Amino acid sequence: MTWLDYAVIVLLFTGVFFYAAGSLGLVRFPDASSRLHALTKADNVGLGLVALATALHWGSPAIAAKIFAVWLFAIMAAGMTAQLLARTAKDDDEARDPP
Amino acid sequence: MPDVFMLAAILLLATLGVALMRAVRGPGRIDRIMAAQLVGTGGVGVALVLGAARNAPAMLDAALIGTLLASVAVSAYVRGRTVGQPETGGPGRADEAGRSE
Repeated sequence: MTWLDYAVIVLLFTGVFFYAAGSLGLVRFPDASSRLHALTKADNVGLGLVALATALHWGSPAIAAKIFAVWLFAIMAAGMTAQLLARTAKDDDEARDPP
Repeated sequence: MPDVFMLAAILLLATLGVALMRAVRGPGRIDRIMAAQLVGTGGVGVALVLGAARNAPAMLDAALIGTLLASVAVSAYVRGRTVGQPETGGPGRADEAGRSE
């Protein structure tokens, strides 16, 4: 095993850890607004680390570019999703107890 | 090395199973949508890891498609809430929170 393999393993399991943290947050957090944090932040950090690990493992620039595209679109989608869901959660909160 | 990636994929799937508890319990529609969104992001990660484990570049295409489609459910949900005003009579309908604008 080269040092690159060790780096891949460390990145991979750090990514899995962040995925686990995101899932745990989604299950354990008390309301929709705070669950949104687990969904949009921890999960995408996990995806970034896993994508980096797999790109290093493949070791080919073309495949790394494709994995980079996956990560880029996921980040853009996460930003849009977070805005839409946060607005929806805010509307729900204000409908429940008006300001 | 493939075994390590396979182990990571199994752990990711177990994580997604835990997240599905939120989809089962709810309580609101937005919670279920969030669980579905998390499974979408997690599925992209599983596809990447499985592609590395089995030396299958086709899994990268699956991951790319999954990324592009993952956010469609959320935009459809939010759009369905906002277009369903009573006077339009569209296919959407007002949400259960009883918003009035």
